[in-house]
Amino acid sequence: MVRINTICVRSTGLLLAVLLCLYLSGCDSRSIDDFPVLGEVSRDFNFVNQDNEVVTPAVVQDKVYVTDFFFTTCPAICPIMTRQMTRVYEAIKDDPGVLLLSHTIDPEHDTVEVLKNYADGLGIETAKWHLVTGPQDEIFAMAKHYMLAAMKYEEAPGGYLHSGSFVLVDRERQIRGYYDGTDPEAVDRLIDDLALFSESR
Amino acid sequence: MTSLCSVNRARRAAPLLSLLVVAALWASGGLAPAETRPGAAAGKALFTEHCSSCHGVAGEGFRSLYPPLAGSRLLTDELERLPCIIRHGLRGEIVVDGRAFNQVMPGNPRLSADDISRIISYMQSTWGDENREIEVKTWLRHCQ
Repeated sequence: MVRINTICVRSTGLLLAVLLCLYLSGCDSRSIDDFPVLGEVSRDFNFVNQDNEVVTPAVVQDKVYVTDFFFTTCPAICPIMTRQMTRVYEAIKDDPGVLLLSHTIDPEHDTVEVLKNYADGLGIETAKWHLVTGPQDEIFAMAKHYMLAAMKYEEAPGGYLHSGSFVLVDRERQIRGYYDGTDPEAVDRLIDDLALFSESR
Repeated sequence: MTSLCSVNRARRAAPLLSLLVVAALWASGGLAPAETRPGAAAGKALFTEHCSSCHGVAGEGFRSLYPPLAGSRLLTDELERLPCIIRHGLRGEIVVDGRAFNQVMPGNPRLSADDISRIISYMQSTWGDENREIEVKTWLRHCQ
């Protein structure tokens, strides 16, 4: 009888320990292996950020990063994307393994000085969120490489057509997710997924 | 006696009369709340489409990037500037409620004067003085 009671106590203890583990892990059994590789970022790039620093693949080496394409005078989706990217920034700003990389598609207007002014308005730290500019054909080519649309189109508000997606790239420079940068719920998912990628080594 | 009856009838009729007066005022727009004003729905839709992505659905602005509209001097003391700002945009630093903003606001050259009127009317009724009106077409003729 005493032995049965001991087994019961041990079993209950084990069950409680398992439940505690599930609780502490948020019951999140997801793994980055659940995210298919959607592409490889193999193209080289050489841009300049809001602090006039050169941004090459070396800046994102061994980092998980989120990238998008915008322009500062965009009257349509960009302000919404910027609000959402700012939410991502607030979520990752203390995480040394994650970066944000936003490309302007209007480099003629969006000079380093303009990007600096924009960054100051956002109140962001350059090391965590690079706003980059460079030759327009290179930026368009980079967008295409990420499988995003970006082009001049006079009929569009602001004169450009571009995707509103945020792209999640892992440490091996593999594309692991596309998220609608104008949809707060999609960006919630991105923030969750970033934590997962950041934690996995 | 007759006069007493008249007074009583008048007393009985008073609430009905008040209701009729209120209904008439309502129909003429005199007591209409913002949502039921003619063109208010169109003004809200235009604001949502052209303004809210920067200035926010609640006119709250965003960080030091996009200035707030709700409670801003633009809607009280500087209302006459709005038609030209909406039509042609804005460059250079501005100070809104003691805070500096310095981004380019793109213009909206495709918006008609009537649409700009509707947007301003919506903003006034929501965050400003809804009883104040401006001649948008006149101010648009004097944009610098």
